[in-house]
Amino acid sequence: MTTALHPKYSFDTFVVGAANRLAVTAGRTVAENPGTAYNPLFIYSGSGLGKTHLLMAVGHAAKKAAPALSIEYLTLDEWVEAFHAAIAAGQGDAFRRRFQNVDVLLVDDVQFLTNRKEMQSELLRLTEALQTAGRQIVLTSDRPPPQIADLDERLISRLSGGLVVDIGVPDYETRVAILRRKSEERGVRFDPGVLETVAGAEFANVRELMGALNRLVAFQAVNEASVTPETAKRILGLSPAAAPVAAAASSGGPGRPGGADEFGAFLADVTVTVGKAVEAWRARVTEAMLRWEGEGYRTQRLPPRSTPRSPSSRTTWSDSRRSSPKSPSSIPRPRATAYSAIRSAWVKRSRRRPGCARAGRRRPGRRRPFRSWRSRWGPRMRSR
Amino acid sequence: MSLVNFTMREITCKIVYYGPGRSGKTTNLHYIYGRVPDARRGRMVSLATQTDRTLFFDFLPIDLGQISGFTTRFQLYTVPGQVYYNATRRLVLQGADGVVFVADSQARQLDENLESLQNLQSNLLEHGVDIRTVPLVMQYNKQDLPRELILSGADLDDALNFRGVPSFSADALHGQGVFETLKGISELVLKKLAAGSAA
Repeated sequence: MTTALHPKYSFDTFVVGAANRLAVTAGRTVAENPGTAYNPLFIYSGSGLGKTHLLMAVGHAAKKAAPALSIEYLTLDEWVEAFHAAIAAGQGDAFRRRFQNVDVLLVDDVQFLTNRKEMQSELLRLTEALQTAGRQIVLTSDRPPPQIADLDERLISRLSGGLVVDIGVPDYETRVAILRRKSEERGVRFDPGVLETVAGAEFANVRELMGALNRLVAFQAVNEASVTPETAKRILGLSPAAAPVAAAASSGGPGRPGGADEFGAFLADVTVTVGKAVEAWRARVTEAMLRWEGEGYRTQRLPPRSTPRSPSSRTTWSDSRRSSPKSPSSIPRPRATAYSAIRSAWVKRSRRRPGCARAGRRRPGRRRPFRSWRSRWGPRMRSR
Repeated sequence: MSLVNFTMREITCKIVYYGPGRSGKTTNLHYIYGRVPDARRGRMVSLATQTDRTLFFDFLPIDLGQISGFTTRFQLYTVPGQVYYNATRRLVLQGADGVVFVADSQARQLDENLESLQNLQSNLLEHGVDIRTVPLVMQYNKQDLPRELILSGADLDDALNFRGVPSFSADALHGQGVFETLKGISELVLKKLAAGSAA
């Protein structure tokens, strides 16, 4: 049912650049701390930019870190097919149990959930079960969750609840690095400047870049003559203007710290640290909500209020929407404190219960005569 | 001072660059300012004398954008290093979430470094804060100067870093070690925030 992890698709063979650094860092973190760091981790990118490679790399790294973990990789289509087969055989529950017991579940190509309502609710249930049990789920798609057409709102919020990262198109330096590594893997050597020329022709994704490299490798093998930058341009049909100034781009000045990317790298690292902290906070808040809900309290967020608070206040009950231009003519109401909001909610609730001592507001003039416990029951008890 | 606002989904941290005069605190901020994209940085406020000595303090707000749903902001401050501006230093230090101690690596500046470190400790104490509880990293700046003029990172570690906090060799003028230092202090601050909210 599931696909085995491709041995070549590991972090060691993944070329990291500015466009994918965040996704790789998140993937490594998840592999090292499955179920605790970002759950679910949602990776999206255009076709051929390394989603499947990264997903399998997470699987390999998690397996390496803890060999006892059970790790499953499968595409959404495989999962749907397996589900249909299980339902046909009357084994729906066994199917659910099987995936709920996986420690790290890697699901590829989630965008195919469009128009599959039943599978969406199945995935929602599975994600909830895995999260509750502290198991990791990593998903990939060609677009972020809100842009997957016809996706259930609950599933969107569930999938966005962990970490959503994208992989961008690799920049020039990363393209050169990818080409170098791939030609080394194949044991092919090119004249200086050839790989830089190929990298300079902005291909839409890595797969197309690999296609271009394959053509050069094939050309060199057949002609038994080394490819020069000019022949490379001719073979790939590149205009001379597209050729980059390889030397200028590759040498950013010796010993100089790496340019504008420095902030990006810093941001990626801070994101990981903040992500870990936020995940822990979220877990604690969810735990607290479940506990209080269990005791009968309502734990929803209080509705936003339009009255702004004084700037000195640090924590606030109002929502970020408070600054929106919201009916300036509306009558200013005294701002309810947290206590009064909770109290009024409690009173409203108790009014619904018949026979409750605090039910309804007493009408003026119809005071209920006060009777103490003793005056009500006293005489009858005494008569016994 | 640090703010984690769950309702507004905001994290704000104040990081102060502390150290003796002319050790390169403002240079650190200038380098960071130059590397942060326009959309992510606020206006850098710098109050300097005619000879470019920091008169009051420098302030650089950085917006890191949405991280895990939280709007994360860092506010970087420097203090004036000169001895007679202690009141300002104390004021800037108020509510700091993390401190970067920028030490001058020149051998002849060692006493100034020690004096400033003691001053940091006493100013934190004035605010009722124990230096051992504050996220702190050391930056040994000016490591690009000739070897015979400066002390190495290991020597400075022996002399200044008796608390064993993370330390970074740097050349703030050219940016070596600047972001590493910022990364180091950010991690300590954010870890402390996470631990603090757990308690």
